[in-house]
Amino acid sequence: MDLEDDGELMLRYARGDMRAFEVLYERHRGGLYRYLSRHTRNPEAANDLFQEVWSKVIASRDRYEPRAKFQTFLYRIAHNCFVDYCRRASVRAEVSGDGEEDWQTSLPAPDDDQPDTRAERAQVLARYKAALTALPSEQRDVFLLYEESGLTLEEIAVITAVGPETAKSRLRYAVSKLRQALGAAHAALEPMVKVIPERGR
Amino acid sequence: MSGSEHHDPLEPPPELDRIIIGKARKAIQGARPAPLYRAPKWALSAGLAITVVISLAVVLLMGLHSKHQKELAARAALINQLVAEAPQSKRIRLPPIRTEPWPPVVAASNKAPVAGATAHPITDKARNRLARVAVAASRSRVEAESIEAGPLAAPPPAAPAERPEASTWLGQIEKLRGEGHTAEAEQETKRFRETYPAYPVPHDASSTAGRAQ
Repeated sequence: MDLEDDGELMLRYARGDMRAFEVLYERHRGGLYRYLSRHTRNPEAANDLFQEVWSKVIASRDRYEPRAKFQTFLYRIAHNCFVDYCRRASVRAEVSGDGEEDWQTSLPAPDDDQPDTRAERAQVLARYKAALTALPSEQRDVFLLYEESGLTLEEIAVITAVGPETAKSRLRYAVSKLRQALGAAHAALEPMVKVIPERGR
Repeated sequence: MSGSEHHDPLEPPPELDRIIIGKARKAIQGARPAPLYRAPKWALSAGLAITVVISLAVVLLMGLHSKHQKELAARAALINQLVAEAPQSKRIRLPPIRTEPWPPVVAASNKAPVAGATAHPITDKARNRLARVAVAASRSRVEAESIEAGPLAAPPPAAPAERPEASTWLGQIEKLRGEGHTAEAEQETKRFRETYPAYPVPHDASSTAGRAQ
């Protein structure tokens, strides 16, 4: 069942198969939550948005047609929800202030979790967070979508309603700025920040 | 799903998982289950097109069949009418079927050229043609009679064996006249006319009488 296509799972859920939804949810809950959480940098807002996105998926089960990948469908809803959230709350200022402690523990710990390593990692994370926050929201959006959803640039372009070249350019700028901010430390973050190696073609 | 006490900040909390799963379950509970099979979109139009084609074919076949039936009925009516119009006594009898090539009359006619030939300028060829028409007409009537009588009806009676063919018979009559047996010739002529009413006879009674004078 795990190998089953997302679109087919969604169709089965629309026909009343609850198990199909559970598999679908299990596949995408982590990536979607990280996308929203890193975007909002506010756990409460991330929880609200996460719930809102899945509620919309559930509500649109009868209208769903597997013309595109399910991920594209899911992250388009998530993107729109986040845009609405920004408009509603004018959260730009708020976003930059909260969630400090979350970022300290947001990325997985390496195996050699010694005190000096941990301190060094905390510094790198702080720089990474600062660099990500400093990115323009469009670049951050493309970067996080690429990072968390596993979608292609063409699919991200569709979700963010821009051309593929624009999406590619935004991703390139985001990666370049993050590299600059992290300097030599970006190698330490490589297993955590997947996009920094040249993936963005 | 994460059910641990210490919540990972980049994973959704378990309460959120429960809420969303609960919502999803509630959404499909009580809802009418969607049909398991979804026909493709083109199925409806294809089905309609096939139905229309089959209907047209059936209507066309029925039209052809009724037309054929009407033709048969018209033919049967015509035959019945012809049979009804023809009196029993005047029905044409079929001459015996020839085996020798048509027309053998020429010899007899040449043998006994008569004065009436100028009065009746009918050639042997035309006579034969007329005879053929008469035979065909008599045959169609006989066929009609057989249709009326049904499949078990007896076949039409063949021409009596003592009656010769029309041309031969006429030759014999001419011969009788030539030999001076006028009364016999007249009698034979009368019988000939009864037997072959449609056959054109070049020498009728008046001409015979004229010749006799």
